[in-house]
Amino acid sequence: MTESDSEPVPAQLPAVDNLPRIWQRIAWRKIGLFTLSLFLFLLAITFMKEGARALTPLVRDGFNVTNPANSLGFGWLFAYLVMSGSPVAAAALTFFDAGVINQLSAFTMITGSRLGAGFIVLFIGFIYVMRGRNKADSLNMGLLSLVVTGTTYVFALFVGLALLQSGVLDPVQLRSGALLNSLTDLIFDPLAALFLAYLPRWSMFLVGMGIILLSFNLFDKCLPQMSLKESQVGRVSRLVYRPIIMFLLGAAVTMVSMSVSVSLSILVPLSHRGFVRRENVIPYIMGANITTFVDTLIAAVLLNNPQAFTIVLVEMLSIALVSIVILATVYRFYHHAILTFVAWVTADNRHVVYFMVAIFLIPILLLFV
Amino acid sequence: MHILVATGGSTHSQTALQQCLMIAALAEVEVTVLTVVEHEDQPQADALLREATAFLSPGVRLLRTKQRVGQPVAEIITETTEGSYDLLIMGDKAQHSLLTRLMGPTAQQVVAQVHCPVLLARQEAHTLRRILICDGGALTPPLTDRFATHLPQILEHAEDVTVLHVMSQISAAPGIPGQDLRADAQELINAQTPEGEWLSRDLEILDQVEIEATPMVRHGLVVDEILAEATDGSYDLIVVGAHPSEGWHRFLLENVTAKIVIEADRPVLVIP
Repeated sequence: MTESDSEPVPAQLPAVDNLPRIWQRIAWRKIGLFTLSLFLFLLAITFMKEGARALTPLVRDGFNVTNPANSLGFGWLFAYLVMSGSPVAAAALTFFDAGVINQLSAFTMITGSRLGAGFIVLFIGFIYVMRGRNKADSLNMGLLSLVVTGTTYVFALFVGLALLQSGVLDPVQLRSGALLNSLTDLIFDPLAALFLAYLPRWSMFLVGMGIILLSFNLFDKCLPQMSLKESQVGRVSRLVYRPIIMFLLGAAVTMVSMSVSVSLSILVPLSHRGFVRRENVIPYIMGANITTFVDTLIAAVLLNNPQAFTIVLVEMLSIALVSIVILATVYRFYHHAILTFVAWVTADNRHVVYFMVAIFLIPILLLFV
Repeated sequence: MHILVATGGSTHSQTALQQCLMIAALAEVEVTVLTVVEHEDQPQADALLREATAFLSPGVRLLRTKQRVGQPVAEIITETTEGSYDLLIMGDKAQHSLLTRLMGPTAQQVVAQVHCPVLLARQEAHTLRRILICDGGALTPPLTDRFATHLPQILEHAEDVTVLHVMSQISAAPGIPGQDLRADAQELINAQTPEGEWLSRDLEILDQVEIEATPMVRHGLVVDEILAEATDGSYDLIVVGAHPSEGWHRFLLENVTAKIVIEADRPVLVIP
C-alpha cells in the first residue's frame, strides 16, 4: 500500500471532555470587576451631584473660581492633585449641574482637567530620572503627551467657546438619557439618602471623588493584559504608519480604555523592546485625546442635563476639528516643532526645571486672572 | 542592462539623458528613449527624439527611440510593462508647486506603479560613485539583495557604498531601557539587535558581490535623517525601496519613498 492510498490518520485532538467549556473560558473576574467599576462610577456621580452644591462657597470664594480662566486653572491643578483627568471632568459637570459654575467655566475646567492629566506620564518619568535613568528615555513620552495635549487643547478652547456661545450643538442630545437617569435614580438615590443621613452634604462630593477614582482604577484592571511577543507584532510595530491611521488607532484604543495614559501604555508590549516610532506617536496621542472624553460623556448623560452633554460634545468636536486640521495642513511643521521642543526640554536639567515651573505656574496664575 | 529613458524635452529631461550617458560610461547598456505625445503627428516629438539620439549616440552603442500617444504617466508605465527594461530613468523637477505636491508629481505617480527600478535625475547628473542605500529592514527580499540582483552594473562601479538604517524610535513609556536608541551601527551589530542584524545581513549580501559597504545608523525622523545623511555625506545616489503597491501595507503605511522622491536634491533610485 502506497502512502497516498493509506487510511488518513486523524490528528491528535484533545478529548471533547477536556476542552474548556464556554463558561470556563469567560473571564468572569474581569466581568465582575467591570460591573463593580460601572456600579461605583454611577454611585460616584450620584454622590458628587449631591455634594457639589454645598461646595459653592469653597469653589467660588476659597479657590476664586469665578470665570472661565479661573476654572481652567482650577481643573488643571485639581487633575494634578488627583493624578487623573476623568474624575475632575466629572466634577466639572456636577459643579455645572449644581449651578456652582456656568457652561463656559465647566468647559474650560474640563479642558484644564485634560491638561493636568497629561502630567501623569511625565510624573512617572520623573521618578525614573530620580532613580538615575536616562532623561530623554524617561521623559520623552510624557512630554510628548503633555505638549501635544496642551497645543491642541489651546486651539480647541477657542473653537469650543465659539461653538458653545453659538449654541449650534444644543439640539444634539442623547434621547435615552432621561430613561437611563430614572433607572439609576431608582437604585442610587436611596444609597445617597442613606449616606446623607450620617454625613454632611459637602462631604458627599469628596466621598464621590474617592469612589470615582476607585472605579477608574478597577476599570483599568478589566482591560486585557497585553503580552505580545516580538514574533507576533514586532515587525508591525516597527513600521511607519500614515498619521491618519495612527490617529484612528489612538481614538479606537482610548474609546475602550477611556484613558490616554492607559492607551499609551498599550504601545509598550507592541514592541519587544518597548520602542515606538516618533512618526507614529503624535497622531496616536491626538486621536486618544478625543475619545478619552467617553466617560465624561457618560457622566453627562447620567446627570440628565442637556447642557452638560453639549459641553462634552463640544469638547470632543473642537479637539477633533483642531487635530484633523493640523493633520491635514501643517502636520509636518507641527511634528517637527513638537519634537524640537521636547528635545530642547530633555537636553538640559535647567530646561526641565523651566518646563516644570511653567506647567505649575500657568494654572496658578490662571486662578488669579 | 536595458535602460528606458523617458524624455519630454524639458530641462530635467535633459538631466535624465545626461544621467543615462554617465551610466553608459560605466557599463554596457542598451538604451530606448521614449517620448509621449498627446496627439499623433506632432513634429516636435520627432525633433525631440532626434536631439536625444544625437546627445546619447557618442556614448551609447545600442540606441532606439520610441513614441507613444496618450497620457505620460500611463504610457510610461505601459512601456515598462511591455518592454523588458532593467531601469527606467526620468528627470524630475527639484522644486514642485504645492498643488503638484498634493496631486503627486508625474515621477512620483510613475514610481508608485512601475515594476522595474526607477532612477530619478534631479538638478544635475551625477557619476554614481558614492551610493547611500536606505534599508528600513521591512522589505523581503532585502533592498540590498534587490539592488545587487537587478542593477549589479551600477553597484560594481561604486567607490563608496553606505547602508543606512534610521531609528526613529523613542521609549514607549518611562522606565524602558533605551541604550539602543543612542547606539551606532557597530554597537547595534555587536548587540545583535534587529537593526544590527539587518545591517549585518546587508553587508553580507554586498560582500557576496564584492562590495565593501559601511553600515550606518542615524536617530531621528526617517525622511529627515535620510535627506540629512545624503547631504552630509555628499552622496551621488540615494537608493530606497518602493512603497508597497498592494496589500494592507499600501493603505496603512506612510509613503516614505514618495517624500524622499519629492524632497531629495540628488538622484534617487527606487527599487520595487
